[in-house]
Amino acid sequence: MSADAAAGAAPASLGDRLRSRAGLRLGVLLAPGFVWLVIFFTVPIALVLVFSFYHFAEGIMTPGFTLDNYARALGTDVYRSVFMKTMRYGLTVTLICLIVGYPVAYFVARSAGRWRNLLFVALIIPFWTTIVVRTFAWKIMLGTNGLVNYGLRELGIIDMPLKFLYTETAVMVGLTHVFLPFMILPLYAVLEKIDPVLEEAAMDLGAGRIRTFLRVTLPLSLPGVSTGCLLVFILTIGSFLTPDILGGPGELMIANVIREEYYTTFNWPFGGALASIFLIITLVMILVYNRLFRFDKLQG
Amino acid sequence: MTEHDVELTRVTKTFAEVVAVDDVSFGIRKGEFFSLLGPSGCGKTTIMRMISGFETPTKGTITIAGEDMRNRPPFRRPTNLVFQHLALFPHMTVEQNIAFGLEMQGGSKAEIARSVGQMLDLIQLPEYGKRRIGQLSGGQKQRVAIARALVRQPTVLLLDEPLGALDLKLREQMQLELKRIQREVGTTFVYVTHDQKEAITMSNSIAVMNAGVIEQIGDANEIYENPRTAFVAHFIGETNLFEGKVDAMDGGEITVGADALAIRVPGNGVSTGQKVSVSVRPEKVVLGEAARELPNRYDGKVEDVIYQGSSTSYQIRLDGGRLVTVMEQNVERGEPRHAGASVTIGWRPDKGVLITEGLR
Repeated sequence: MSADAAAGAAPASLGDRLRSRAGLRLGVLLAPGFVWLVIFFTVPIALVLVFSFYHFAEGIMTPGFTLDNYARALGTDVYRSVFMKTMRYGLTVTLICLIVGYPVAYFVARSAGRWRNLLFVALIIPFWTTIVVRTFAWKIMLGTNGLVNYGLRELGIIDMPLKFLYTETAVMVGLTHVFLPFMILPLYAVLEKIDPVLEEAAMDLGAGRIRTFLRVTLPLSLPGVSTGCLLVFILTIGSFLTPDILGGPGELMIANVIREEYYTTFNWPFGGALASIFLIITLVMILVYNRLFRFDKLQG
Repeated sequence: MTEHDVELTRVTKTFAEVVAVDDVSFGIRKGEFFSLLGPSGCGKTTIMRMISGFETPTKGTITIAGEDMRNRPPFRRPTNLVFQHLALFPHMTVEQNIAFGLEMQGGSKAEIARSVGQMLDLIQLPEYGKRRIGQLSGGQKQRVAIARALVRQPTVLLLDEPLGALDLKLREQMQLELKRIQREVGTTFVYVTHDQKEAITMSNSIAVMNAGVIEQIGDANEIYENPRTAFVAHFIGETNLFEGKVDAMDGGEITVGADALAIRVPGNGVSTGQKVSVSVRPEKVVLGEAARELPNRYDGKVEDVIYQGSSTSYQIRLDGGRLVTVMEQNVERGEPRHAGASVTIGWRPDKGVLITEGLR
């Protein structure tokens, strides 16, 4: 079992450890984070959960216990389809980010010295600009008189401007753009650690480029793939700013709807129910995902 | 078909402005244990990478088993490589690593399993198939890397300083192991190393490289006893190199004037006044009584004594100021000479080697 037990010493309880000097130091180091999490994470989530069982009538929330909010959230087509749409966006954006991001991460990871640093900075730069600004930039790009339509018309490909803005495409483009770095960075971190000699070894043993990638590079980069996908998926399904700016009323995601309930209708119980369902779905998906890919075991 | 398995003809490789390999030609005979020996940066690894296809010659031709290798990628060459840091696939088991090369060729599962089993027997790790690479010791990894490369039955197996990371004891053990494996499979081995002892112990044939060119090719004995250039004399084993000019010629023997010393050495085809060097190995020099009657005989003082058990190495300062290394076998059970003692050293003329090439 533990090293303590093996050495014959009685296993120290948490209290014992906290009383010891090393334990004290540990306690001091952990305390701020712990307090922060309790106040700003655990308590709010608990409140959301509690409120989700309250009654709500004529704009007034009254304490009590009812499952009506959950019944309405799960039983209404509109909300069900928003959930579905959110998940679909999540999966699609994750997939696009993976396909677009992998070659970029690979290229940067395999670049030589000075170039690599330069390219790495280029990957980081997007983080210096707020999401709002970057998303509004896309609004200018995709608008009826935007850069994309202008370009297509100048090239004579179209006569009339195409409608990009306020469509699913616009939202996907915006989300992909915003979250791509979150895919590239973990991929880069993993790919950079894979010795290029392993790829040479595969080639020397008769594998062409494609089989070298499929049998050596890809399997070794799976921890990065799995981290990147999880990050992008979670960030995407939780986003409300991008669908709000680029999607318009027809392209609401679940976070938009929840916000609406809290800030427009002030129906906190129903908003709470939606948020709780969303939280549970997400947690279940992560558990399933972890089970499928076992990314905790892929390291080394 | 030629008798050579690998043939390099006037091969040159330049990286940007740097000439890594300069107009090199040589052949490697079938079934030979061939070593490319030289200091780091001499171009030996570049030659190996050109044979395996990871680098393309700037000029010249490489043929393997009679076929021109131009434009042939590594995965279509009849060569396999044991990498310097082994490059075993960390996400695969021992079996999967060895099977990799066969799976790329195609072939039935049963056939592959059989070949993998044979390889595990050959490297004497029959029980290790299911192990992960991380669970192996350094020497075991070494064997697996060799098996993985040999399983495809390459015409040529290239080894890039594969024993460099092992400690001395294990390295010596693996050297014998490699020799055994090579005898059993009969494949042509090309062994790249900077360790002259390793090259001498293992090879049928050694090519000594320096600064992008091959200084000498021959078997270990030939290279040790008849070094053709000053570099080879220095790089292989220890030597005393006397630089000087031809003073006199007398039939097959010449006299070289090196500083205040007159050294007699067999030699032909030189002219009086020509710049030459004489190489004399430390163990070919005798001390004291034994030196008395010799034509090459000089007086000096013992400056330094390094007692090595079976032999003793002396640094002798000759009266002219020149320092000479002498190795004496400890045949008698006495004490070695002491520092400061006066002593006469000498050697028979035919124990020295006249060097006319690659003088500095």
